[in-house]
Amino acid sequence: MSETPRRPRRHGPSDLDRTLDAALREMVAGEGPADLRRRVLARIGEAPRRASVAWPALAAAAGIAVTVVAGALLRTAPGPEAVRPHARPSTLAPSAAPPASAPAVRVVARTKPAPLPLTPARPRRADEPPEVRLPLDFEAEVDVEPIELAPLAVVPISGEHIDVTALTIERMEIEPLAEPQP
Amino acid sequence: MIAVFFPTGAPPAASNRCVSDAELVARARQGDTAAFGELVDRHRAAVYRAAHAALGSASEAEDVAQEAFLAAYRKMASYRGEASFKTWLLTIAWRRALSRRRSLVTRWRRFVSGDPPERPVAAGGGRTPEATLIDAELAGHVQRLVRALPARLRDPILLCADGEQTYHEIAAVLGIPEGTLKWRVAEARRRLKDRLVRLGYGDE
Repeated sequence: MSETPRRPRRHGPSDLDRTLDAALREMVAGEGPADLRRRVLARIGEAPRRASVAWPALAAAAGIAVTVVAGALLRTAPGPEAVRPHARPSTLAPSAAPPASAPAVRVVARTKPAPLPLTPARPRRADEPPEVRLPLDFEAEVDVEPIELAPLAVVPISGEHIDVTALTIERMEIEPLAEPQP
Repeated sequence: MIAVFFPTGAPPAASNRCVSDAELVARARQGDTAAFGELVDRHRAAVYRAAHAALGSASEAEDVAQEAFLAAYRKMASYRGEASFKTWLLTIAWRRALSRRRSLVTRWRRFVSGDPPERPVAAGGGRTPEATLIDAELAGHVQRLVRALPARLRDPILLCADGEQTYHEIAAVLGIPEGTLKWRVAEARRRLKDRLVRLGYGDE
C-alpha cells in the first residue's frame, strides 16, 4: 500500500485503543430525534381512529367496484333477443317447428378486417376493374328466409322376443398323444 | 373552630419521573400514554443508537426508532417481564433495523448513494491541532475498516461502542451467548488494530 511509508507514527497502543473507542462511539453517536415522544404518541393516538375509518371505506369501495364490474359484464353480455335468431328448431319435437307465416329474420353481418397480404400488391392492368375496398365498419344487411323443416316422425323401436337356449357342453374325450416314431 | 378545606381542582397527575420502568409499563398497559411517553424519553437514545449501529444512517435510524416504539406499545400485552423492558425494546428495535437492512429498497439506496460520509471525531481537550488532525484521519480509517468487517463482528462492536448497555443486555438483543459476544468484540478489535498497524498506526 502506498500510504504505509508516509504515515506519521505518533500513536502508541494506548492511543490507538483510545482513538479506536472514540471512532466507534462516533459511529453510533446520537440521542435520536428530540420530538420522538410527541411523534410516537401522535401515531398511537391516530392508529385506532385510522383503522376504524379505513374498514368501512374499504368495504364501500369494494361494493362500488363489484357493482361497476357487474354492470359492465351485464352490458357486454348478449341479450336474449340477440340469441334467438340463431337458435335451431328442435328435431325431436315436431310441434316446435316454426309456423309458415313467421316473419323473415334480418341478419346483420359485420365484415372482419382483411389480413395483411404477405406479398406486395400486384400492379393492376389497364383492362382490369379497380379493386373496391370496403371500410372496416361496413355492414352488410341480408334478408334470410327461415328454413321450414318437416315434422320428423320417430318410429319407436320394437324388438322381437329372442329365445336363448342354455349352453351345454358335451363330454369331451382326450386321447393320449401318439409317441413319435424313430 | 376547625376550618375544613375541600379541594377545588382536579388532583395533580401522578408523576412519572421517579417511577421504575415496570411501573410505567403497568400504567401504559392500562392506557396511560403519558407513562409510555416517559418510557420513550428514557430509552430514546439507546433505541436510536442500536438502530444506527445496524443501519449506519441517521435518518433510517430515526424511522426505525419510531417504528420500534409503536410496535412496543402495540405488543405491550405480550411483554411478560422475563427480561428488562429496555432489553425487550432494544430487541424489537434491532430486529426491525435488521429487517430494514436486509430489504431490497435499503440496499438499492446504499448502492445509489454510496457509503455514508465519515463523521468527524470530536477533538479532545488540550490536544494540538496536528494531533487532532491525525486523530480525524485515523477515525476515517477506522470507520472504513469497521464497515468492511463481517456483520457478525461489526454488529457486536458497534452495539458495545457507547458503553451504555451491558454485555448481558447486548447478548440478549443479538440472541447469542454472552461468551460468544465477548469473543466477537475482542476479535473485531483485534482485526481493526491489526489493520491499523499495517496502515502505519500504533507501532511506535
